[in-house]
Order: sequence, then C-alpha cells, then structure tokens
Amino acid sequence: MLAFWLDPAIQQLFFNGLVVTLKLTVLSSVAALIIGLLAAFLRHSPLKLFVMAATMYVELFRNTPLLIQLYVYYRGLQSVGLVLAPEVCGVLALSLYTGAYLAEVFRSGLSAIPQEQHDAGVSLGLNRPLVYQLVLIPQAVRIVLPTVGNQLIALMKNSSLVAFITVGDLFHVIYKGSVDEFRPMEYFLTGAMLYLFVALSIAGLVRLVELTWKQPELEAGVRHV
Amino acid sequence: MSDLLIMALPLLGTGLLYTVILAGTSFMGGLVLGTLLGGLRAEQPPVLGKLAAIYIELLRGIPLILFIVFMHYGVMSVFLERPNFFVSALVAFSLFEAAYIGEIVRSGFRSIKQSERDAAEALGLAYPVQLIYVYLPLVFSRMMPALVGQLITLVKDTSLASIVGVVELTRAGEIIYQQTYNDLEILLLQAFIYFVVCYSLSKISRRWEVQQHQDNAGAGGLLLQSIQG
Repeated sequence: MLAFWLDPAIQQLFFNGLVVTLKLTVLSSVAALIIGLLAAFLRHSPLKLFVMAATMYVELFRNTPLLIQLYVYYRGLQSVGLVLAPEVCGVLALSLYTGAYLAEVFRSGLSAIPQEQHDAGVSLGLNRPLVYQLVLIPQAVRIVLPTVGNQLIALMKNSSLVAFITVGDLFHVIYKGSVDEFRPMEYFLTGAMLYLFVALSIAGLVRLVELTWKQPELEAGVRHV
Repeated sequence: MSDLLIMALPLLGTGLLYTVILAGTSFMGGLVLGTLLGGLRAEQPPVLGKLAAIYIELLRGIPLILFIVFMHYGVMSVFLERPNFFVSALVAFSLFEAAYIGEIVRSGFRSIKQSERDAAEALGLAYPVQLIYVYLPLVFSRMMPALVGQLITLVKDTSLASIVGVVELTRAGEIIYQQTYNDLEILLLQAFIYFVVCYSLSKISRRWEVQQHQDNAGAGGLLLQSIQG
C-alpha cells in the first residue's frame, strides 16, 4: 500500500482526478445555488405561471435519477445531433439536479420565518424586495446553512457519476484502476479517503461560515417573536 | 414511435420490476441494520455506540457508486468464484442505506421526550421492552416521511446498479437504445417512469404527513422541520 502511495505516477493520476472533481464541484455548486435561489423566489412569486414552472422544475428534477439526467444531456442530445462536451453535460446535470433540491431547502428556510417578521418589515415602510433583502433573507440564510452544506457535499459525491460520460474525474481514476488494472483495494481505499477528506473539508468550511455569521441576539429575537 | 413503444415497453417493464425488487429488498435490509445502528448511536452503549457512529460517518462520506464498485470488484470477486452482479448491488445498497437510515432513526430517538421515557419507566417496563414497545414505534411513526424520502432516493440510486451490469430500468433502456439508436426518446421514457414511481411515493408520504399532523396537533411538525431543514 505504501509503495502504491509513493509511486509518483499514481500520485499524479489521483491528483489530476481530484482537480477535475474539485473544479466540477465548485462550478456546479455556484450554478446550483443561483438556480436554487431563482426557483425558490419564483415559487414565492405572485404570478401563477412562475410558481407552476418552478414547481414543475423542482418535482421533475428531484424525482428522476441523476444518472439518467446525465445520459439525457450526453447520449440523448448526441443522438439528435447536439453534441455537448462531457464536462459541460456534467456541470449542467449536477447544477440542475442540486438546484432543484436547494430550491426546496431555500423555500423551507423562507417559510420557517414567522409571518410577523414580514409584517414588521412592511410596517417599517420597506417595499417587497427590501423586506426580503433586509429582513427575511439574512434570517433564512442562517437557518438553511447546514442543509445547504449537506447538499453541496452530496453534489461533490454525486459528481463521481460524470466518470460514466467519459470525464476523467477522481472516480474515473478509481474505476479504471480497479477494473482495468485489477487492483481494487488500493484504488478504492485511496479514493475513499480522498472523498472523505473533501467531504469533511466542505463540512468544516460550512461550519466556519456558520460561526462567522452567527448573531446570538438576532437568534434570540426570532425565538421571542 | 408506436413500434418502438411496443418493443421497448416489455423490456422496460421487466427492468422496472428489477428496480422495484432491488430497491424494496435493499431498503428492508437497510432498515434492519439502520435501526440497529441508529439505535446504538442514539442510546450510546459503550464501544458499540462509537462503532455505529464511525460506520455511519464513513459510509456517508463516500459516493455510493464507489461503494458498489468496491463491493463487486473488491469484495465479491475476491471471495466468490462467480460473483453475481445482483447480489453485489443488493449487499452494497443495503449496507449503504443502513448508514443513512441510521441517521434518520437516530434523530427519531432524539425526538423522544424525557416525559415519554419517564412514562415507560413508570410502567415498570424493562429496558428491552421499552425499546420495542415504546421507543421504536414512536421513532418509526415520527420518521415515516424521512424514511419514505430515503426510499425515493434509493429508487433513483438503483440506477447505479446498471454500472455493474444489473439489468434494471436504466440498463434495460441502455440495451434498447444501443440497438435502435434513439437514445433521447428512450431516456426520456425512462425518466418518465422513474418520475411516476418517485412522485407517487412522495405524494403518498405527504398525505400521510398531513394526517399525522391532524392526529397529534402538530407535535411532529417541528421535528419534521428539524430533519428536513
């Protein structure tokens, strides 16, 4: 095992895979957060059409497997002559899939805030966007932060599926190594440790943000209302 | 299109059957082991409580596909002369689900109030009896929505079994469009079938949840939020 880890060629292999996984995760996370926010707001909008469209998006993407979604963008579109780079398909699928989950998370965060907070904002003379910007969102963000963190970790782990549309990510390295070279133990254990490390790092990062944004007085205030 | 449907539907139907069998059986396996793990992690007996926590955290930190591939090529292929794809997938899914179900069960245990524990104690019940007749029923009734949510995730996740060669819904479609070259239609059809199964499950679960709310005047409401959000 030690010889395996000390082999520079192996190290390079894992490093390259890890970089691809991290890139995919960061890009898709940013896109998923934007999509999720957008969908959550549309579902709160007074226009029925928007609400319906956003609800359909959330239900459709949450209730179909990510693997099928990946195949639709990669194989499906290819069969009708629309060829997208596998990496693009990966980011597209991961961000749309996670975006649907995040939309639900954001929505539950917004509805966890008592109606009185909204009313208090309005009675202060704030208009609708300002009520959201100054009153509701800062509170909602604190409520949903841990769950968002979990979703981003899930995204990172889900990104392993892009290996099956020929993207050379960390899992692709592990899969090739264990199936083609038939050294499953070494590749699996090393890969598992790397995934665990990245998952724990994201969890730590989220915890850090949580602590930085914590406002005890504010939380106490919300509880009193 | 209609010719295609006539050819595709029986195959996809068989695939769906395997998906349902795989998801159902591994959920049962995961439920048994997960209840044990979650109970241990919540009630924290020495050593075993810690071991359960380590198992749960380790498995929750790695991708499912990694675990499935490892189970097939790393474990089953080593110990069995002719490893069966379906068995590998079944074992991998059960062990993996157990970690997630364990966390659900643990939050169920945390929802048990001290007064409920006192009541069980006051009835003079021995601890194992309390566990089986008082705590576990409370845990399962309160955690039902979360458990159904996990089952929905599992149904979607069984698509990963196609990677190791199990001919479930995803692989069945793959076999069709590799011969007919109409990938998009078949894939969308598959997505639709998955959607129908998962969406119906979530609707049933939501109805159950509403009924629960009416039954115990929102006692589970806060709890649900704490799990989901």
